[in-house]
Amino acid sequence: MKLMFLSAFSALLIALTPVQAQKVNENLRTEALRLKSIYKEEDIVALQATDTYDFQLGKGDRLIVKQKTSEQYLALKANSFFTIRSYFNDQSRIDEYSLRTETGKIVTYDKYCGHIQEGDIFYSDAQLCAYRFRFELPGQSVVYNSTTTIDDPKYVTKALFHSEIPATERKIIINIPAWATVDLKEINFTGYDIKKSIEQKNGIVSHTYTIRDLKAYPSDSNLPGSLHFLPHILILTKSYLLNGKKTTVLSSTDDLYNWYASLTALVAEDFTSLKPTVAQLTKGLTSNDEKIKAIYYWVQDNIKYIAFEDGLAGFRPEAAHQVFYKRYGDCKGMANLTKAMLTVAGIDARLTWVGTQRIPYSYDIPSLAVDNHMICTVFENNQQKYILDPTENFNPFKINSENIQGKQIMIENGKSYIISTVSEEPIERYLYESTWHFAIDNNSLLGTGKTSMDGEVKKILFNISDEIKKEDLDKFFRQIIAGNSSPDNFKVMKYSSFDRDNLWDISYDINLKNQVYKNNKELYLDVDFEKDYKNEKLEKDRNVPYKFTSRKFKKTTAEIEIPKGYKIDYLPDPYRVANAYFTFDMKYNLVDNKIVYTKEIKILKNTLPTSEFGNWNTAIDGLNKFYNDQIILRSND
Amino acid sequence: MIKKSPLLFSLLFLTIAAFASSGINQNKKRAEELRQMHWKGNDKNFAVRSIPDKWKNESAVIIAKSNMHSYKKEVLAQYLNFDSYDHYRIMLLDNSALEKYAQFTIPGSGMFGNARVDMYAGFKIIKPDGREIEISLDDAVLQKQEVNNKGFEMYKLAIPNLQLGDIIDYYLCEEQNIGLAAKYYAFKPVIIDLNDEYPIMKQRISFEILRRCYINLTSLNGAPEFKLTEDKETEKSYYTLEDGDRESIKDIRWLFPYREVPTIKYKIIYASNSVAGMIPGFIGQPGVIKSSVSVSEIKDLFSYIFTDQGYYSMKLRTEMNKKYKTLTDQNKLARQAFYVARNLFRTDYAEDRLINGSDPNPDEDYVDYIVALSAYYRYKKINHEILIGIPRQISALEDLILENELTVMLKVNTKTPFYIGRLDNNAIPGEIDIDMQGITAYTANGLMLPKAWNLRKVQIPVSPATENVLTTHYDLTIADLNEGKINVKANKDVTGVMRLYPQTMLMDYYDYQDEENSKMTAETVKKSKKTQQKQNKLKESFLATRDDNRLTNLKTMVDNDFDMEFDNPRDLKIEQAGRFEETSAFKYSYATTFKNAIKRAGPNYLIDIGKFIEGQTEVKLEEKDRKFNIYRPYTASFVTTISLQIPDGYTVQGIEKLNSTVENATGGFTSKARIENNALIIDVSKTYKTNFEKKEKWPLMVSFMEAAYNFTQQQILLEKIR
Repeated sequence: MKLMFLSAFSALLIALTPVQAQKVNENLRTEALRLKSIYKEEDIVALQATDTYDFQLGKGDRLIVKQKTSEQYLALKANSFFTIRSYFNDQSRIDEYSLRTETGKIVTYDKYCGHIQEGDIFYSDAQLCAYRFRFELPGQSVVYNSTTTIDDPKYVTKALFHSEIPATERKIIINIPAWATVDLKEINFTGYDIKKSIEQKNGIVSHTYTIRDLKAYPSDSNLPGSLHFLPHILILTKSYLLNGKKTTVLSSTDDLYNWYASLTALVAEDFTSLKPTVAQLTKGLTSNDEKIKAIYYWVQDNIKYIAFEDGLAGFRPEAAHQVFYKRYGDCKGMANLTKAMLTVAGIDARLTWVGTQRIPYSYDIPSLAVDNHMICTVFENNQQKYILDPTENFNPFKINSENIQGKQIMIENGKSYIISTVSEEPIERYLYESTWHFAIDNNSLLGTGKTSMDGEVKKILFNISDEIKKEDLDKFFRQIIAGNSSPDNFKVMKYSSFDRDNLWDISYDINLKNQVYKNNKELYLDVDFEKDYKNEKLEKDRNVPYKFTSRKFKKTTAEIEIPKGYKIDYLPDPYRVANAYFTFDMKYNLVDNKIVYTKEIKILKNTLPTSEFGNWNTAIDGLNKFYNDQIILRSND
Repeated sequence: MIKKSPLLFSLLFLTIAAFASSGINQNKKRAEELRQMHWKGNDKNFAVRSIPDKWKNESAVIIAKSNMHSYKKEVLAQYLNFDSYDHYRIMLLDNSALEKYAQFTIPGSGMFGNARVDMYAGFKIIKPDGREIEISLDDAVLQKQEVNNKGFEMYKLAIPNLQLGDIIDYYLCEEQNIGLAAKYYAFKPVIIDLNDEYPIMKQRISFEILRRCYINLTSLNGAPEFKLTEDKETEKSYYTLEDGDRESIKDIRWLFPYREVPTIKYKIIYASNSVAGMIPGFIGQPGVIKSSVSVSEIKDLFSYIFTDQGYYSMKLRTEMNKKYKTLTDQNKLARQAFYVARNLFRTDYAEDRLINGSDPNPDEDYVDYIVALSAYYRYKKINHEILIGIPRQISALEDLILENELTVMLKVNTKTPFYIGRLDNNAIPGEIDIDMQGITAYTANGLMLPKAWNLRKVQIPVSPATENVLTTHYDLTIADLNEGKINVKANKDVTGVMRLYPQTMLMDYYDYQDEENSKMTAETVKKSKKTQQKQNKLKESFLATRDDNRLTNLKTMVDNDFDMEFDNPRDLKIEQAGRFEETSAFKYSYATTFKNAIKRAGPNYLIDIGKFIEGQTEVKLEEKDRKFNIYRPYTASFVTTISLQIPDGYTVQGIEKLNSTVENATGGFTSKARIENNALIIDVSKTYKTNFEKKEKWPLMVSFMEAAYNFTQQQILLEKIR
């Protein structure tokens, strides 16, 4: 992305004056000292934080939601900065907000409002207002109040307890009038002491959830989607009854589908421009499978993924011919183009909604929170056959990409829909297999190697290779095969083309210096230069699940010729550990005067729950011991 | 679909004083003129559709590039026009380039401070068959931004239908109308090299300068010269640089690109006649390139600066007169003045800055302090020189054209002469600014009044490697053979420029407060009770997390130093602050435990002993062939002693592999191992003798760097005594 240089722009960091210059309340100062001893890493704590969702009557007799936030922040440390973020979009607006000290005095702060620029998202209608202020001394405090109106309650999907700072008390209050039907689902409450009370007053049912001493949102690396493990409340607005008239919001999966279908129905399609390309792609192809593959791969290769999240357009696909012309689109546009091109080729293809693995819900929950992605499903004789995700560059035909495996999907089916599940690929589809042949030459292991890759690892490798400069490719490949050792120990001899349908092979020469240690009559050998997962123990205090990049199936075989005049003096004991989440299996054998080393590693599930951390760390201890144990050869002299 | 997550956006508070933004290409007539100018002109370079075969494997090739700047002021107008037109034509040859040029972010027009800025842009793609597709800016999406109720616009444009082999041809123009509050306006100086990350077939840089605009400009390192050209169509005159056939360039270790790669530097100033005559700077004739600076101009500038007897000079003199009136030894007096200046101008603010969360030792311009010291030395008739030069990473002295390129330091010629190269919290007398080491500079006699100076050239010495020494002693004891754990006690002793980093990471005001107070007799300004109370609270809050923060910093340092797993460091102790000439080394110690540093071999154990000299530079394959001269930041010596207590029941084998020596004119690496009192002692030293070497000497440097790297791969065997 190019940012044009504008010489008139001069960036200037605002040096904020502190929020207040008055005396610090002694009670708050004492409280700050107490809290600092509990939350050592934190500079700010919310003393009390309440999010209230008021379902109420809006203009035009519509159900609206007023979200009121009230929080008191306490500084635990001098010179602490804090930024409050308040989000809104085309369907919501910030009505009012205030920042005051606890005694009601004015607070000095910086304000930023604007569109959110986040990661890969090219454009989003999501906006925020952010207010940043500085506490000069511990014990100072700021009280923040704001009200945001959400005009359509279906966009209010969930309420989370955690935020970026700890809270001594956090409340979520949901006020529902008797004339509205709103279901609340408590998710991941186990292990958290969340008190719940229900009160009815003036025709309004108040649901109050209170949690005390809540830590900040976890900052650990390799987190799975937080909805999998953090407590939250799903807010399902089903319908409301006013003046005898019932208005449905999202009362069932049918409603959800009908709303999605109403948006896709608005797309004005014109297949004319697609036809020549479809004809060219399918020319001479006789089977449907060949045609599907040709079109699927063409979309992957030629349409660039650019994420647009713009109001209703965030849920409505762009017309296929537009995506085709622009050569870019978001997931909906790419799915829609794939469907259109397949349709032109005479194949039954249908739009399909799915929540990726970051989302834990299934379609029995009628909520916009259930899904976040659109793909395309191919049918034959009215039977579901293949799932195509054209945003997944280099994903092979007939293989489901990992981020949707095991997830429910909602497939369009005329006026109705089909709920199905994306099947999981067998672990064998993740094969990463290496064979090495070594001879001992002084202090070095000289040899050749060949590695074959399949599945997600191949896909990731193709994607990175595609994005880096041509001139950096050789170095990148050497880095991949070098594992824990220096890439300069490897010379790439040849590699196969980037073919989605076949294993990707790379052959190389190896010169590992200092892997052989000679001591009088003995040679000590260290064969495994990759040392997968060595030292990769999880932190003792980690209390959130660990997400691997992907599942994995790694097989390695190494043959080491025993030099003339030497025999084996010692081979390390084999190491094997296997459970439902992972397998490590490595051993040495003597076969025909060669030492044969085999290593098999399986990561069977891409997320390790906290309950498995003990097993994992024990396994890594064993693995470290195995890696640190040397083969010993002894001279016959 | 809508997803939200907390954002890291402290950058959002980088604010811009702006308001009343209004799109791109808003003035349709002007937009069309600029479109015609860029796409319908006679420039043949922008009609090319093919690239040379030698660049077919590049990621992208810049077929043509044009940067045109125009600086004008109409007669009687109270504003200055600055227009900038950038035009690029690039063939995209791989997906990384395609990705880079698939999206653009363009600021909208608007008022920015006192300037009205109009933005114009145009994008088209040229298909391999020659078809041209112009991209409508109507598809650009607006992103509103507002800081403290002042808004500005950014437009994001995705380029449709862009494929490999396509050429993207685009221009971005800004036309500024800058309100003038005075008869003087200086644009930011610019220094750019002519190479890019992609090869360039043709490029042109041109300036149009009219009425009262002054331009200082020069070409360096073989960059073509600017020539005066006339555009017959517009009847305008331009200074133009025509260039081409430039290979792509990458980041290279120890390279100062502005000293090696074709480069241009320039600065534009608007000034009225009367103001131009008054400006103490390098200013030539309006509209005419000034590409050299005379010695007398440098003298005039610096005598202006050094004639100034301002606040700092008076403060220093008053303090010195008050406290050191009886001190007559000029050698001592000169040094004491340095420490007093450091205390008055820097250390006195260190505590406040520290506990208020600011940088306690900010990197700031110290010219005022140098002027104050020089004034004091002249007042006390202490012989000293004022040294004026250009930082070595910017230019050679003969290529000077801009005032702000210059830097200054002092050499005090007392009985034991010393340089004053820095004046921050931790500076000591005798430090030569690393930016000036080895350069040719001008010297002036500081005893003379500035207007009587006679500048002459002098060579600034390079501090020898013996002055920048990191001495480390690692005491190793085996904590657990089977677990592979080794306890380490580290003692570090750092001198010269290398001590600045550990001082910044590990030391604060409270470490040297007592020493400073005992050596300096400066009186602390009495603070009011209220201020003192607040100060105490701030200090208390700072001290509450001080130890943890320092250990976190130490962890980062150890992590950078070692390619091994280790426990959180502990027992950090600052032994000596390194802030006075007689105690100039920064000394500290800590302990930690390394893990998985031992491998089992039957009943014996292999220890990765080489790794304990800390990570060494690995010269990568692609670095071995060097095309540019070598610019090290400074000379350096690393002296390490490793002492490993041999566990009972074991002997050490493999000591002979730990002995190596590579010494040459550029530096060296030596390691020697011995057994002494049941301990393995290894003495290692690595030296970079020079701060500059010709590229032909690179193999010599590689030879000792490789010896050092190879040492890190060495193991020793603990053999069980049978």
